[in-house]
Amino acid sequence: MQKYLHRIPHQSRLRLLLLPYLIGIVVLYLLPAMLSFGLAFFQYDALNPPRFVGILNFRLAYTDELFQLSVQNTLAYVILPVPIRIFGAFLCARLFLHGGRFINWARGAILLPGIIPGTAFALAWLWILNPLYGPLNLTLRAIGMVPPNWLADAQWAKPGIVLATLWLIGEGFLVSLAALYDIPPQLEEAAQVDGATSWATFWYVILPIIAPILLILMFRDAVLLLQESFTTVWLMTQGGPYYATYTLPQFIYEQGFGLLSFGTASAALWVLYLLTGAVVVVLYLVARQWRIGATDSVLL
Amino acid sequence: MKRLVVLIFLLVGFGAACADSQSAETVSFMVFGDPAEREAYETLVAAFEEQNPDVDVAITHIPSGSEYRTRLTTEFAAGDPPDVSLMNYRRYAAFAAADLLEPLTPYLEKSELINEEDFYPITLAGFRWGDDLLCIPQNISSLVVYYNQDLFDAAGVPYPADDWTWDDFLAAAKALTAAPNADGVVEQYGLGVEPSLFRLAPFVWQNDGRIVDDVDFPTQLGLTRFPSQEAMQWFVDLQTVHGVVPDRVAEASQDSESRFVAGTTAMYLNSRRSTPTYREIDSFTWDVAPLPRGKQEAGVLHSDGYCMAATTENKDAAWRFIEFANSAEGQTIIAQSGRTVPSNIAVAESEAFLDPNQLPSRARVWLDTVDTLRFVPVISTWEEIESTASEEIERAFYGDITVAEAALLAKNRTEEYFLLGVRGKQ
Amino acid sequence: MTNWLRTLLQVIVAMVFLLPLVWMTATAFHAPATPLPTSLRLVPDNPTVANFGRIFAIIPLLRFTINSLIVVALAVPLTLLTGSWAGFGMAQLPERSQRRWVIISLIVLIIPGIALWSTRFLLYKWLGWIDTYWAIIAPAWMGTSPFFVLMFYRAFRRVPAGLYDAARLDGAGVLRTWASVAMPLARSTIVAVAILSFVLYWGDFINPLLYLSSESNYTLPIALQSLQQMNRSDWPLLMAGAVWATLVPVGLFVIALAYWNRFTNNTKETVRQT
Repeated sequence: MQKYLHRIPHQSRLRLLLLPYLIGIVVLYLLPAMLSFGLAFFQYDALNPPRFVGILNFRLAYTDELFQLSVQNTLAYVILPVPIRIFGAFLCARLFLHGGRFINWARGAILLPGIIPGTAFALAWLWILNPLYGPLNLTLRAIGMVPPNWLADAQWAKPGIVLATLWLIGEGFLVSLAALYDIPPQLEEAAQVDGATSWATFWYVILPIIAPILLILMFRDAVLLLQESFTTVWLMTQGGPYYATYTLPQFIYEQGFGLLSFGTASAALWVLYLLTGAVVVVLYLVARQWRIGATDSVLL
Repeated sequence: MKRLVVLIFLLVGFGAACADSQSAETVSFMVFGDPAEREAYETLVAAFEEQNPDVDVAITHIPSGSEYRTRLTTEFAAGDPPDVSLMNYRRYAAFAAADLLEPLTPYLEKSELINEEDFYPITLAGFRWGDDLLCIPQNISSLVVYYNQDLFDAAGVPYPADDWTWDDFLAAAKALTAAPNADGVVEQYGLGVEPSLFRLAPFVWQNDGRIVDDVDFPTQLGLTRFPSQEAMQWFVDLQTVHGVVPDRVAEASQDSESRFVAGTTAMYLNSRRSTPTYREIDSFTWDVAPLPRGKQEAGVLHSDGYCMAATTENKDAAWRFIEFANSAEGQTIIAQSGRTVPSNIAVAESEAFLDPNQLPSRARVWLDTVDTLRFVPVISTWEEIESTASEEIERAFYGDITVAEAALLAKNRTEEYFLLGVRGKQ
Repeated sequence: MTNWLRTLLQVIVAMVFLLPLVWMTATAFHAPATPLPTSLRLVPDNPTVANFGRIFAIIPLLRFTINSLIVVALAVPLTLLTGSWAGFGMAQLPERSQRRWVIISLIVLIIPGIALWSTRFLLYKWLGWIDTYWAIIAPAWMGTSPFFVLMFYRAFRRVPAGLYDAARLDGAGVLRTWASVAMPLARSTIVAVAILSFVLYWGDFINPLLYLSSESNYTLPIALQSLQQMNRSDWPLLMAGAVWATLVPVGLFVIALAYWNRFTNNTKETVRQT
């Protein structure tokens, strides 16, 4: 291998190392993404040849009440928990910034829920949220509260699932931790010398510096949640009770893999592309506003 | 390092190659059901392989009936469906409509092992798509009442009679439901039943009602008609008025079937399917009774058939397996496991099914009600119709909406599926 | 904030995060076929390991575990290899190209996975990869995720360029420089990517769900789903399954944490490298 490589100039050899990555991006991401973009105009079930149907799939998907509901649920499912998750991750990072000998182990505890396989995590929470026998409701009852019925109640099913995802903040935690380290300690000391309380220092000195990173984290988290929601919802509620937790991934899964309407599934994806596109634009603006270069954002 | 790189590549290649090795004489076979049912099919396959050493049957087992279809669909789309799959007569039509199943009439005509006359006619009717028989039925099961004799004894309630009525049924369920304990939890329920269209169906029929307007040419659900709604109201009242069935919270915490198996529910409505699972119960004795009767007797057919994919390469080997499974010998093996009410009349009347040493001791119940069985329509979109209607029935069952609302919603929401549905051409 | 107060808070928060795992584990030891307790207790009344035996009786769990191990054994080394190659290549390109690659990576990172489900299915079907591990480990050929590639890129960029140049002047080729100069300097990144990709493939539910069909190919997450479908309310059994699937990644994680503690005395560095 080395023998042949020697005949190629150094730069090209470096690019050769990038080749698997490039091929992967094209074949596994760009190609499927573009294909699904176009598939929206065809009727295709993987059994018979595709048939061009114009915008029929869009009319089918976008007039489907279940689709509308799934988009609403997905938005609620993403918009509601993301700020809580990221702010919580940041607060944890702040808390675990300094510590004694066992600080790494303590930080490990925050990361641990993210290590558990998604299905095991979902089953564990299904049990924790069990209305009659689950440990959470037993605890709540023990302290004299009347606990909600969580996943068995259309009103509480979504909060129940959101609650579970609050335990999966490892990534935000690590990035916040790294960002906090990058703040020069002198800044904080100077503020304290000026007589600022530690709360004020946190609110007026540290938070503004961290804000752009938190914002970027939020967008990343939104994309992540969108994806992870499927496993959790699929195992915990299957979209129920009565569609209370029915989300876009489930709609797409059922259209594509249940009904073999790959065209309708792709048409439904367009809403996702629009949302993602909007996110990219906002990210770009944020990055420009705070002068974060592309190479800096590798922090993520 | 370089050697390591080569090693990794080799490993990857090897591993992936292992995953897709399929020899020519392999017949893939997909079944669904509980672990105990799975064992029954493993026994069947072992017996078949012993007589046909040239064929290797690979079982894939999907635990949930509802996910079964998605899985099958995906595999047909992937172009690599299981050669033989066990399908309910309510589910095969979606595949039949897309010409994905091999018509088995010619095979059956040539067979020396099995004949049409061996089977109960109603089971064959369920799998007839136009002029073709698409699957060979393995069973003629139906909905019955499983009951916990110990709980009946403890409460001093007489065991269900063969001719018991809706009122007897309700009275027993009430007597067997315990009052809530100090925490407000009901520790024993009289009855467990899945709130679905399929479970509701026999009660609607018993009340002279209809599930669909015309079983041969269905165009809409018939739940909104008065007799149907009356039956549905009675069914829903079991939970909302009488509380003899777990409410939604109790059901979510522990489902009715688990409660029955755990001995905290006295009666559970199910088909023959779960008998192998219940035979593993050693904490109490149980038996089966026929469904209580309303204005008339009616039961609902539960039948599964062995179907062959049209794209199967080893059609001969696949047929030999289907043939064996439905021969007297094959059906005897499955019947002995408790899984089926054999569709083969001779086996059904034999000790393999009516074994006096095995539970349930009233197994004849299934055979005695054969004449009252009816089936739900065979139409390609039936699965969607059933699941959509069941969603509304469930809401009514747990008191979210009224029966009238549920019936109307179910009818309206399924209208489209009836339009899209395809039936076999005569 | 005083030190003891902070430590107290840290302990409380850490415990809250461990709670789901603790509850899951405790229930796994609840005696089967006995009523579930209606009052809170951490240790079940008659703790037993019977549930673990029961899973093996119900599903071929050993087979599924081996399958999961095969998947990670293929995917993780491959990820490390291709991911570090890409990161190494990127780190040495001219500044302009570097920026381009980073932007491409970020864009790919933001494509939602759901958008690729159906079309990857069609692609794999066309390649004949359905129901093979090829479909599951395919992303490993490109470092699994641009995220991992960027992690390597970041690690390699921190190495002074002079080191690479020196190696080159010594006559070392690109691959040799990568193997003998770059990789040894990125040890903590390697460990981090190894763990993250392990967790990813070990816990992957969606890809096996979509692209595997034969039971003999199932991995653990699918096995857990099967277990749930068979015994929806058998909580001790389900928790035992969850514990079983969690055992290996948590074990690895703890080992890695210990490694972290030993090899880095400067905590600040530790965090930066993650």
